[in-house]
Amino acid sequence: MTTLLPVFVLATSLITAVLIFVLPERHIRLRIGLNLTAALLKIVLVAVMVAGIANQVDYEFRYELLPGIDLILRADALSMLFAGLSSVLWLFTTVYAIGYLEGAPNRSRFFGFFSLCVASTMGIALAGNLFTFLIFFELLTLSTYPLVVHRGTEESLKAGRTYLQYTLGGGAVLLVGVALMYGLVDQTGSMTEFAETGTLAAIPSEQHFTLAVIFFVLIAGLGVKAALVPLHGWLPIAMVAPAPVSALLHAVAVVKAGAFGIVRVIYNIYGVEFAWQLGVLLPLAILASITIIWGSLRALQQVEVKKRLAYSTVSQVSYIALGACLFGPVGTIGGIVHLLHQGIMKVTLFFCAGNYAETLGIHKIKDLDGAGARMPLTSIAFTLGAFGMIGVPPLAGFISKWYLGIGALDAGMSWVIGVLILSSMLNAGYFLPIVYRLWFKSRREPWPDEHIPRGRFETHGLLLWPTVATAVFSLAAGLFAAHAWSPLSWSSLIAFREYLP
Amino acid sequence: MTLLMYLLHQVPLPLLVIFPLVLVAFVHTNTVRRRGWMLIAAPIPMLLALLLWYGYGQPEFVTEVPWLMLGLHWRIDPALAPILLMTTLLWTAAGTYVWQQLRSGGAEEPHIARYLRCWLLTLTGNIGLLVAGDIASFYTLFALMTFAAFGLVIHTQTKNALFAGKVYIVLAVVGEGLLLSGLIWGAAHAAAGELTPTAPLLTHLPGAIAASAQGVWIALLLFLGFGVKAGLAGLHWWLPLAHPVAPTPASAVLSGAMIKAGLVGWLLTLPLGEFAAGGNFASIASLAVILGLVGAFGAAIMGVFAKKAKAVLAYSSVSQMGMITVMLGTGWLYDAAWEAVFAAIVVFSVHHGFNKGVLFFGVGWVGALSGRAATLILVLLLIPALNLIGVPFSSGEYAKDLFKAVIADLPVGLLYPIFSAGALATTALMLRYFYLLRKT
Repeated sequence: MTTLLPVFVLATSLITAVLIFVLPERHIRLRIGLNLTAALLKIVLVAVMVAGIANQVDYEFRYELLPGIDLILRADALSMLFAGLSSVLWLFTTVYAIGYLEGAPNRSRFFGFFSLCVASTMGIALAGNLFTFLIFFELLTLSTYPLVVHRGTEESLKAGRTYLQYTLGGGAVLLVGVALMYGLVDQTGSMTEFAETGTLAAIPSEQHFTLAVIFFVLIAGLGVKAALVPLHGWLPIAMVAPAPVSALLHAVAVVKAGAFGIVRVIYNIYGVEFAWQLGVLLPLAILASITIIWGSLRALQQVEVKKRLAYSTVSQVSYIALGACLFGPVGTIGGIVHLLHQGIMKVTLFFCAGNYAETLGIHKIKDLDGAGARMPLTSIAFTLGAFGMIGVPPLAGFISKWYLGIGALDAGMSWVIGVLILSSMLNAGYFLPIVYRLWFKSRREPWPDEHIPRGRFETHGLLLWPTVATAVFSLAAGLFAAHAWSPLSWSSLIAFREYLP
Repeated sequence: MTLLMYLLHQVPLPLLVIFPLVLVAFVHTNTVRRRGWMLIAAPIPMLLALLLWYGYGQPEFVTEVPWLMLGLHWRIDPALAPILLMTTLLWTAAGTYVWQQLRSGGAEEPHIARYLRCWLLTLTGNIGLLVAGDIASFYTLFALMTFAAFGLVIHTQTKNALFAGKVYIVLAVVGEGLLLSGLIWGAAHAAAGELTPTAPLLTHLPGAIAASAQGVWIALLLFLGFGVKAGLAGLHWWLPLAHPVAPTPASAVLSGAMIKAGLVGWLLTLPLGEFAAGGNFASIASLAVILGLVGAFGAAIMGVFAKKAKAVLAYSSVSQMGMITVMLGTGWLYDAAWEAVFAAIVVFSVHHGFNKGVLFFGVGWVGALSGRAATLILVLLLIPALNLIGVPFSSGEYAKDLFKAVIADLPVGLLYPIFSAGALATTALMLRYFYLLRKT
């Protein structure tokens, strides 16, 4: 059972994807049932594994493809963080997507690729070595493309092309990096397995320069999905996708896959201590800091809600890379916990943006005036998400910033504090005007395009409740941060296992 | 009485703080007229608990909830309890003022429900931060107060109010940024590489800052960060803009209670007293004295040219806070005298809170009344005005004498006469205040 559980987790979405593709378009109820059952089942399976890992159980599945190249699915504390995030948010996004796409064409195709996308994310989370990681990383690119171009308009096809150019290019660079790793350093395949405290520290010093080069090749490959400047161009363009897709791309699947990959490379391939000695962490930290500031500056200039959120993602995801570069347990906790915190906060914000667009036809920030009175719950959720991103306590974002800040000081990189604070202020600069428009401006003209009239609730229940749920999570993750079952405590566990051999 | 005793020991502090927050959920546009009592009721539980606590000889009163935030630790700090008492009383009084307004037609104003919600949120933050003992929850409540007060400042939605709101929020965000960096930096030293707790108690901060090699910079960040709230000269711009445009009761709490939150932040986090021994912080302490003097007299000069009574009062608050800053700086320089200075600061801020509150209410009363009643109010308003000036037998004289008695023995040179001359500044401002009140 312990060997097959990771396979089952992967299979829940993979089989669902196949079944949905086979199922004709008109079987709506069956498809919904299938989707939700799979999502719930996966959460249960992940929960079982989380409990097991807390008690030091190993879950590993291994299949030798070629001599020296294994397909490994393994659950460790870090993979469970990502798998937990994906499985929970998958459930909410599925519910949201059902409401969002009600009556739209091609839903079978949409949900099929949606499941495939989550299957790839699960694979990335559970990948036990670089090779397995690479396979699912590429699969993710292929499964998200149909979602980005789902609407089939000229604009979305163009965005899809850009998306493919960037991500396939990044995938190719990553492939080169992995190949270099297997060819030059690790002919046996044992060192590219992800292991706590890393595997490369024993490499003789003549090869250190090679290792540093390979490190940056890997980062360049992963950095496209993680939207590191200057590789971030695809992200704002991909905003033409439907809201649940944007939510998923931004909060969980694509950008997180990149960030998660960076964390994996630093912690589980190189080992943070060894990477620190190699001197590769400081350049990456500087690059991440530039991304954080640049993304915020660009977000300030945007006039569309989703575009602004997109640049905010560029900025926020780099917190994870930044945290991974801070040598010391507190910084590690900050980076890893932000993987989860950013996910729940950003998904909330995108759900809200989708609600405004679907319910009232609002796409531009200037049209949001007085939306707070019309859609109070959505607007409260947006406000919580926005304040969380700024880093105002007691929301999740504060916890991340607090740990990143203290971690930076512990690592002797006090300039990072300046980056964090400047970023917080820029975040305030582009989020507070929206919050102000929601609550403090009053509505003078009719809504741009009101689709869903105010009924018992402000909008369709399937759109509203996932939004509320993720907003509650963003609040709870910060409010109960010190609780034993909080994301923070789980990240501390990961950090302990990384630093205490 | 044993029941009361039991209650005092069993009711955890968070419940008292959360109570106004719960009330927020019950504010609704249609029922605002009948919900004015909430504003009066909101601070009452804390007030009662505080009075009971005094009545039972100030027992140790601590609530710890280790799984909330980064470990909640809330207590009634005996040294700051007078400020807490002043704050709760002022909020109750101001709440009564709003209640009265709502009964006499104020409920028809636009955005009144939003105003009430922001009021309760600000109140939660203001009262809560005075009992918060750990850094994380202190900063949480401080931020809640800061952001919620925006709704009070811009309530009237006039052009001036919106401009004041903009200045307020920009300064507030800058202040929060300075504050957060100072707190993180200090906490990193206080935690000293330990994983838990990463958000130590506020009481650990001064020692950690004093022990740190960059302590001066950390202290400067905190000093400036809290300075935005405390109306420090140079960071005070929001005060004279916000007070004239905010509704009268909101100005009263803004100037009487909220401004003291910045001071409390200073008192809790800065390395004062024994931690300043050795003169490591002499540079910032001198800066505090200088900025305090600039505030105390500069605000008076600006204030006498102000066109509105409430703006005069705002400048008066900057001026009074300047005097408190001078006191703080002096006590910081002469660490042996700190305990006496601390007592003087607490007395001074309680005295200022009450009297300034009443003067703000006065603006509203005089505006609402006419004829003989207005004259009567004007005469009665002389009492808080004379108090602020510090004429003999007033609370102002008592507060200032506490401080003067301390510095009389210190080699402060000209500071003694200059500080005493502060009364002239206050007198000028009070004359202007009455002049403007009579004109209306």
